[in-house]
Amino acid sequence: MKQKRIISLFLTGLAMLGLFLSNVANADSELFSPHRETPKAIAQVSEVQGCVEPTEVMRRQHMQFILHQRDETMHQGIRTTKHSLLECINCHVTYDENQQPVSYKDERHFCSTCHHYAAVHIDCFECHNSKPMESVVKPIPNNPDFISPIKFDSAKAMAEQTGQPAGETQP
Amino acid sequence: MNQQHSAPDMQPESMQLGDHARRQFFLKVAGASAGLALVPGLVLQQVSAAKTADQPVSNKVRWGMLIDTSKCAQGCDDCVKSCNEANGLTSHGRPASDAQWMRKVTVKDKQTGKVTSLPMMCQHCEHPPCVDVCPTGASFKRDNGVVLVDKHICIGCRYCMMACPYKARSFVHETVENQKPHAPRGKGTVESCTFCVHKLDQGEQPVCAVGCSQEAILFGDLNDPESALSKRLKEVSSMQLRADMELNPGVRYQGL
Amino acid sequence: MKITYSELPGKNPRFFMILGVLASIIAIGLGAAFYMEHSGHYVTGMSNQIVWGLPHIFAISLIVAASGILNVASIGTVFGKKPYKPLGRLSGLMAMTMLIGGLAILVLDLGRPDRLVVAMTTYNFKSIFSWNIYLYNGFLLIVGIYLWFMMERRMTQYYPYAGFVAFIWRLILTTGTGSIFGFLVAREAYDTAVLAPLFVLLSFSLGLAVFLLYLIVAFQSTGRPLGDGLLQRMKKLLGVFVAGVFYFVAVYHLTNLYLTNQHAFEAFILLHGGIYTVLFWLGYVLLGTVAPLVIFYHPSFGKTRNAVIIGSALTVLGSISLLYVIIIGGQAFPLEIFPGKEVIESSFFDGVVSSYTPTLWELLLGLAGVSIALIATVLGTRILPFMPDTLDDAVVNPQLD
Repeated sequence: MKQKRIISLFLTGLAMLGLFLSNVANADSELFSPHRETPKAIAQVSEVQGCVEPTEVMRRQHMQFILHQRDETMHQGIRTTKHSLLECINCHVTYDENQQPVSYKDERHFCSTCHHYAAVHIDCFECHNSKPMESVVKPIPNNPDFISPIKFDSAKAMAEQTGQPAGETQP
Repeated sequence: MNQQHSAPDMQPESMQLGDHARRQFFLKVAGASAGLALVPGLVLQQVSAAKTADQPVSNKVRWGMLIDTSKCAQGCDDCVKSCNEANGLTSHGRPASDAQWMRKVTVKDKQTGKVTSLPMMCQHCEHPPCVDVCPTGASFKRDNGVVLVDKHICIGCRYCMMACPYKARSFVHETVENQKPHAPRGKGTVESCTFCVHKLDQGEQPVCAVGCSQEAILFGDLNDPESALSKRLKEVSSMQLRADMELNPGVRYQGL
Repeated sequence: MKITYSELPGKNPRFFMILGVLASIIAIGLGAAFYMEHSGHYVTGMSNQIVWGLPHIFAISLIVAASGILNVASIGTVFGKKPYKPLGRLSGLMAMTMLIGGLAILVLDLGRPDRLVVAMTTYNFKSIFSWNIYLYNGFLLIVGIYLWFMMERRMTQYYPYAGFVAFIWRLILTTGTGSIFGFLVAREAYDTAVLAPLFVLLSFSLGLAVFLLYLIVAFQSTGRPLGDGLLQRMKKLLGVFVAGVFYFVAVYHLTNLYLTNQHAFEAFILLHGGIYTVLFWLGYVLLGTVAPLVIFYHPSFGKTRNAVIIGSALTVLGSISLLYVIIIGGQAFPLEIFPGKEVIESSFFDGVVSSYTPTLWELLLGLAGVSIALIATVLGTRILPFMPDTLDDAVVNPQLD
């Protein structure tokens, strides 16, 4: 009698785990699809240049790139810049009202906008600085790299980026 | 000689839009490196050993250091200051738990009374006990002899600190913010002197060797018989700390 | 008479009260652990000098006790001593729960406990710590199977084999725990193979003492008969174990006293080490070794149940004192980086005895680990029939071989 109860408890647990895992595996399923209003990063990329890989690739695979580079840098001392976290941070800068770069603790930070929404913890910034190197980008209003959060038109930027007229939803 | 490496890399292959900003950044970097190259001492003397940023490290090189304690001045801590500054080590006013990668120690011979001042840091052993004991392999030795902590997989168990004969490691006891971009460090992991690995990777010297106003620190390739370090080690008598343990540290002391 | 087993009765106010108290201690301890992780370890007494502190004393005590508790089952299964056989189930359960409690403390004290999955998936096989992760997980698995074979009628024929494997495994496990310190080449207190057998013997005495205490409390509070003949028999064995630990401690220190380069360390522990000297002589030698032996072998008082209780409690106290001296004392003694020289100036505490004052947070975390072990034991005995209905001397026949 008791044993049956324990076995059924165990089976229920397994079933719940399975359900959870299948949801994770189907991250593209309707539950996670962009039907809902997903948050947009304020500074998607610089206004004047693209990212190192196409946006769709970066969306899905940025972690693989960073991980690969991480191990190469750590163990082999390869410090190329294409897939380095440092360069992500130097390029994807969001400024606050005082024209200072925000850290990952701010929801407007490039990485945080999405990670915050998806509730995926970013371990990188436990050790790495989430703000750009001071020498790289200075918050000068007329600097082409500087995008004020107030002035920034996200729809326009998205359109430019994807090559579609503003207002249309993404494929 | 050593900086132009980054040029091809900086230009992303799939660049879709203009590259104005990057070009500007480039010029700055290129200018800075040209300036650096002109300053003697900042650039490694052994051209053969210096690697560029896109090359993997090689076991043909073994980085090492000779510290001339007769030149090391008591009361001077230039090396420690440059280390702290370069790696963003700040004190919280709690000496027992503050991280120290490099420290000055003054010792007195029990018999003769001779007083010697010297810097202590990770000795970058050939057979590092910290690497042996680390459960996850976070503590590791690069092919070029530099002993590092891979903080990505360090779980903060501190067993390496128990194992190190030189007390060279620190546990990060407090939250760290505004880290130096090239010296990531965070609460709950163990760290120690990296021989300024980010500099080495680009063909430059550790900041302590450069920052020592007494020129007491000679840095170089132990494997290259033509390096200034190897030549000096052949001439003068030097010692390894705790040589009895046969760990063959990369850091040697002269006049101790 | 055949031994029968049963679960603890449910719906008993006292049962729920015990659960409530233990759960509260665990909740507070988890809060303390969260506080330590959130602020960073500077809020603890641990530092870059004393890197392992009070939580590790609790954890290692529990882990050592866990493997020792399994001896009770092994004596019945492997050595065929019939009076021990009814205790096998409880022994196996407590071996598992104590280990879980100890490991919980170790994990919660990590700098990055959120990376537990890294510790479980990334291994450096030269590290004794890695081997221990396998030994601990394997222990839980093997003892689980051992219990299953013991309690499942159809598997009973195989359970002596499982018992034998579990016995060998637990010896290797405690050897591994001792070797965590034995393999540390740099420090004067460690770097010796004798720490492994010392830990094995310590597990024998600490484990049996903890088991006796739990057995007496559990049986008396649930009104199950417990024969003094059985307790007396186990008490005699505990006396032998306590003396065995002392033998290895004596070998450890006498060897060091012979070696000139260890004299400073021995003088520190035995003569002028402050708290460590007090804990060694008063805590371990006098209260933890001499007193239990005198009590156990006293011609009249030794025969009473109180003698078993007091002697066991003193053994636990002595074992923890010894571990404190070995683990904290061993770290407090300065590393000899410059032989033949004295350090006159250092910003990093070179050449000086490091001080360690445990904080409340560390104590709360340690107590939480003990409570996890206890609550798991209590719940285990509530759900499945681990406890014999009676251990009356007439049933157990403690004089049997």
